[in-house]
Amino acid sequence: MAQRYRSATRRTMGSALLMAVSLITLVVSTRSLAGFPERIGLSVLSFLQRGFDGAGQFVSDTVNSIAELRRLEESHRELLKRVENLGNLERSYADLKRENDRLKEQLGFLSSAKYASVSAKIIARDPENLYSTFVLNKGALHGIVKNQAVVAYQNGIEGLVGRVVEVGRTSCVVAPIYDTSAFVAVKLERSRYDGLAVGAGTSEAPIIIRYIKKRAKDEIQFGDLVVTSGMQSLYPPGISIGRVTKLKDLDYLTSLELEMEPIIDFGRMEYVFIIRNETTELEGQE
Amino acid sequence: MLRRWLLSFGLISILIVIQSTWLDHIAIYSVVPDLSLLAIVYISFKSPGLQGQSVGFATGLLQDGISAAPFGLNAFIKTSIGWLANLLSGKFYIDKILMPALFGFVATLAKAIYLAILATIFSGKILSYDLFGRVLWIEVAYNAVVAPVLFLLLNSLDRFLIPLEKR
Repeated sequence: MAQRYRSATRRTMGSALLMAVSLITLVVSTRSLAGFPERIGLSVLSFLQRGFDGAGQFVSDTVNSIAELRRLEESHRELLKRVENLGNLERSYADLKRENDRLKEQLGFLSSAKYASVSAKIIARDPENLYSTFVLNKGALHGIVKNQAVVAYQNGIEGLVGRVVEVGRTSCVVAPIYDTSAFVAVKLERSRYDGLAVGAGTSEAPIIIRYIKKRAKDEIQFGDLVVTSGMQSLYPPGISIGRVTKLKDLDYLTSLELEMEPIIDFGRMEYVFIIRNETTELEGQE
Repeated sequence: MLRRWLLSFGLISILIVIQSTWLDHIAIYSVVPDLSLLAIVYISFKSPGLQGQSVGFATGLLQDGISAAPFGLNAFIKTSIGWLANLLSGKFYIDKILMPALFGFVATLAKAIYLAILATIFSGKILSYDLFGRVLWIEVAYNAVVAPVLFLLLNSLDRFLIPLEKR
């Protein structure tokens, strides 16, 4: 009896000790003193995640290959038609570009170079349902640093995905724009009003845009394109984020509140591009 | 003893990786079952001593590395749920369906309660479940459904994970 009691006490004490250690770690990490141990964990597990993702991909590719072949044939036919159309468009585009360059020169604008980017594949999602981050297969080894912006292309449109929040040796963690910790300085493309986009935590819920001036009410239309304003150094200006789906003019608020549907369908996103921006690289290295 | 601990650690680490990769294909409203939590409940319930809690602590730290959660959060949650399961060790008979489902259900609710308490203490730093939100209830139901299957699979690995006298 006494021995069983001693054993139970020992187990409780041991558990309490482990809980205390994890609580201390939690206290330290929530004050942002941690970083190194997380990077170790990320590097170790992302190695396994890469393997599991590869194996899963192989199985799914094999199973889908027959249907894929039929689909490819169809898309090949469609693409041939598109190539024909694009050939025609290319000729008119070249004329327009020359005209645009001439006009820009006359207006004194410098032709701004587009940012350089690194392509990456999503290899895993956050194992916790409360968090919405995902892991990419590029890391410090490929020149990725914290706070770099991430974009994706869907249906020929470039859309903002999020930013790099943690970097391992060969992988990095990205917080999407719908994450509750994401704040993006935005601009309504048509009316040019500024606002701040805040995520709701899930990709299904709309992103909220706050601090839009009340006088903009009559100028905002449903479906208006929302782009990054570039006011925040993290995201380059002019990247599409989403389209306005709802406008709320609440009496007790001094500004309008908009709801926006992201341009990117996060559910079918596989590949993304990490923007290599000198400003964030310097910040990330600090 | 050490072999059992390392095998449990390896198994739960693999479950965390599966949770973050393959299970994405069977997610319901982006919610996936918490396999690692269920495995820790199983090991803690069936093993004497600190095996379940210590494996929960170590794998929790590893999970924190790939999650946006603050470092130490999963370690705490998994250790404390392992401790709760260990307190019940030997007090119930585990059948094939009902008890594992109940364990999955209660363990997820316990996780939600721990998170709510921690979110109050570390305000703004830790996310907790919305009691009326679908994420919590989908996860509770999903874990309750998956637990009998996972327990059955783990049962076949008992000789690697659980000491002889407790099998």
